[in-house]
Amino acid sequence: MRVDVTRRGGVAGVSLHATLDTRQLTETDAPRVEAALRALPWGRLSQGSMGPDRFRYEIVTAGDDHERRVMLSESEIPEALRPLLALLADRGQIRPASIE
Amino acid sequence: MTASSVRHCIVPPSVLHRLARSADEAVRDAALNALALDARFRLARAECAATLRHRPAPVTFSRTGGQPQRTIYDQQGSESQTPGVVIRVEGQAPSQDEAANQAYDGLGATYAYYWTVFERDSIDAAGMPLLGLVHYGRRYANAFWDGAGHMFFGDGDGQILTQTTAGIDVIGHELTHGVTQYEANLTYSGQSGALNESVSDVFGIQVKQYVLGQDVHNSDWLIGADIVGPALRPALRSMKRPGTANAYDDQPADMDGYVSGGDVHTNSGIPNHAFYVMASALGGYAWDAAGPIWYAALADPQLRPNATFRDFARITLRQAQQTYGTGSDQAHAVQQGWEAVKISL
Repeated sequence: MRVDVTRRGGVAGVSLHATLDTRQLTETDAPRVEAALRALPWGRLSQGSMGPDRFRYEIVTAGDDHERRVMLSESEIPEALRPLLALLADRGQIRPASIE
Repeated sequence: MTASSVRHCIVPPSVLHRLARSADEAVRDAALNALALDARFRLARAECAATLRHRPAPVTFSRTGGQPQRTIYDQQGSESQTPGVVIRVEGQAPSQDEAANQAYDGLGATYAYYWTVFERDSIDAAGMPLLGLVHYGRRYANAFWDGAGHMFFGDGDGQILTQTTAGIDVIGHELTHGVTQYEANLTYSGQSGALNESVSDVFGIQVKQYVLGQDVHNSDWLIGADIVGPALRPALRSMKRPGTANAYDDQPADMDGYVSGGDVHTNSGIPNHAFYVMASALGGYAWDAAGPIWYAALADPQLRPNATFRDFARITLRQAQQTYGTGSDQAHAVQQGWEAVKISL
């Protein structure tokens, strides 16, 4: 399962982006992450309200028929998705805060 | 005014309204008088409350202010929002944990700045205890104030950020988000969001300058220089030269570069630079006059949550004129600051 993950916000004022594949995860993590991804509230494009300098995430997946997109605040990230975010931290490309 | 109309003041307005419709002229006049007086009292009370903005601090005999109440907790890599294991409480000797000691000192420095310069007793101006939660998350590249008395510190990912407790300005920045929440409560998007971010940088850098005893000319005006990882060296933001702090810094230095729909950390460069220009024009320590003018604007009841840059700029100028005089150097420096970033007053 391939996903585009972008992290925005944080005191550093930069965003972090990566195209990731769940095949890059361990055999244990991959099915869990895929299940957590499938359960996300796809199509919801507004995060829950969060305080200043908190992280917010945008996940986009290229499905069979159409692209699906979801925005999540840091506190809405399910525990099972953490290995994917660790991958983002390892492989992500830094971008200026206001570049889409 | 007759004695009878004064006595009417304790009569509820609903009863006065009924009496005012009375056929008896004397009763009607007395009731109308009392209603007018009642309205004036209500207006005066509302005006008084608006000026105070918050409930007055409770009067207690145990607390006179001037002393922080810090507790540092070890989150042990968890992202739980509940405080973990206590490492150090107020007045205790340093622990073995360097991050805990840095957090303790940074919270203390921020408290000392706000108390010494403004006699503000903690974030809420009512002695709120300061709780620092260190080692939050795994390789967590951020630090934040949760709006409810807790400051969370990540250890950093080693690329974007290193140990976040090392940044005194960053601790001042985060706690100032709390101060803003209790004052103007600037909405965290658009220009008000960029102002919210800028106010945090403005007071964050002053906390660092205060600890180091730096005047406006000795300060580097860099935010986050002590916590950036190799990818963002030498700093997160530059108030002196916005847009030059690191390879990804997209902050504009004036309104010509304003990014429509941009991130709050991007456009905050504009008011950041205005403060730098004003403080530099005045010289000395930033907290002599520049900081107090910005603080008075932040606490001004006329600063609305959805304020624009220009709204804020005008309030800073009015505050400077009221405190130091219309033709004062301070008022002139405020004008210079906003002029430099191309915001017309």
